Amino acid sequence: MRASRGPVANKPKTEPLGDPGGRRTGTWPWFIAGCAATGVMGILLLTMGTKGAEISQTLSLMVGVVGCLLTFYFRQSETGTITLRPRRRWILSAVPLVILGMAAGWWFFIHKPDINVTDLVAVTGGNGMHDKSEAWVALPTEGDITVANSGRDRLALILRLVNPAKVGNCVGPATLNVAPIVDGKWGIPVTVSSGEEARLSLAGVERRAGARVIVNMTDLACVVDLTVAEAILYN
Amino acid sequence: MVRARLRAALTAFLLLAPACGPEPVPTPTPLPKVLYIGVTTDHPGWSTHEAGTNRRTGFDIALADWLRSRLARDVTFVDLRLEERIEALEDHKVHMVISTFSITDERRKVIDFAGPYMITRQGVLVRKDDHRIKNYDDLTRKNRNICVASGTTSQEQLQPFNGKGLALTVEPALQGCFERLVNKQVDAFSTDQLVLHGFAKSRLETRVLDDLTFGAQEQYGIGLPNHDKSTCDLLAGHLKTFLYEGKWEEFLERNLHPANLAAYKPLDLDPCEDGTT
Repeated sequence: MRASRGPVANKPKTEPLGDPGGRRTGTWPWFIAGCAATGVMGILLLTMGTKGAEISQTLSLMVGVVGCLLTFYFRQSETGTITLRPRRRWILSAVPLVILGMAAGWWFFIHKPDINVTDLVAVTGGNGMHDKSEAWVALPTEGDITVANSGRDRLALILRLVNPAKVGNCVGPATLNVAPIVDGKWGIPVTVSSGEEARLSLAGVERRAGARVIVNMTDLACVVDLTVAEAILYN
Repeated sequence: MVRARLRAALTAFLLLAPACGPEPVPTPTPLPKVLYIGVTTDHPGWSTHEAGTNRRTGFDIALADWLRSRLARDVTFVDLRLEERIEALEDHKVHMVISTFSITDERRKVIDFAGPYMITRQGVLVRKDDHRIKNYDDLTRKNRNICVASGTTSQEQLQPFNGKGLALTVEPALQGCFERLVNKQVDAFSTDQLVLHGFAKSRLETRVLDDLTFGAQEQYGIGLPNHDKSTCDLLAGHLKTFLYEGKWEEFLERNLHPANLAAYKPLDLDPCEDGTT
């Protein structure tokens, strides 16, 4: 008497996805490359901190759409055959590739990466600031990177107040009025807290740019120091 | 076929929804049924405890009781000395501290605060018949013996003068300083002026020098464990109601009745610290 081979053995064979001839090995290079690219991108985004989080959020929309399209159009039918004809399949393959190509083109040829100038920014009057004191933040005008030759027209500025004394509730309730100055012309001021990002327009800068900072504190006895935690030129 | 399309659409929605959503919001910490609130026991007008009757009185106790009813929670008071307040929060022995707890940038590094709910400054208490101290110079430049409690902002503010223009006596509790003053062991007792009003009210042989205040503002807040923004936001909302809908004046008048109530009232509350910083 022959032993039964069980339900698995009797199950009809299905064609592998996208490979009617059964040559699954052809998909492995893509799989490995995809995993490697995802890993590298993940590490890169992690090292970028909050900027990486912003980029991944933006990219996730595109990746999500493309992923869904691919899954939807290349799904396997119940009988194991591809539902689309080869010509339509290649046309549909081209759509996400074109989108990706356009995105990559924008990223590499149009988009300009951020320039971190934190160490190049000069602060005047930032020590021993009282209520309503003014400090001046100047962006670099000499050296390899200057605000004029950077090709960027916006500044993301994070200012931080430090209370050197052990007493006083100074930093928490304080606000900073930050007004951009571009080639001597005053821009629109913004009000931020210590550690909060101020986004300033430097549009049309030809020689020099900076900002005037006024500290507002509720306790007139407070004395604080102003530092630049981050200064990023971007578009 | 319809089911497959539905599944695909659902999968797409689940994949895309997080990408389109706003920044993730920290999950609010649910308050426990019983709140352990750290308080002091020897601050007349602010927080006292009678051992025999187990009765507690004072502005901070009244505020804690008011919060208990607003939050619909039971409260267990935990007795703390002044220098134990931060440690009690760091070790999670209490959920919050309500105890003339000055908000400072230094303390914000290790704990959070909801507030301020009161503003005062450093003041000076002397014996009623002693008229030697009239101004800041008399206090800091004539080698007077001044008592402060350890672990307080008062100690921080006078420490730089110690041995240079005054002699600092440090007691573990405010009550110790008060006893030393009454017993003529020190020339003056310095701490927050509103706290001194509570002591002066309890013993008539002392008086607060109303015109002598100095240093940074003392802004009282409710101390919370670090990175507890959700509880801070919750308490800040209730404190706004407390400050601007009548109870604040009532409790201050009943427990301390200072001359000018408005001078001690904050105009606004500080934003709660972001839990990530």
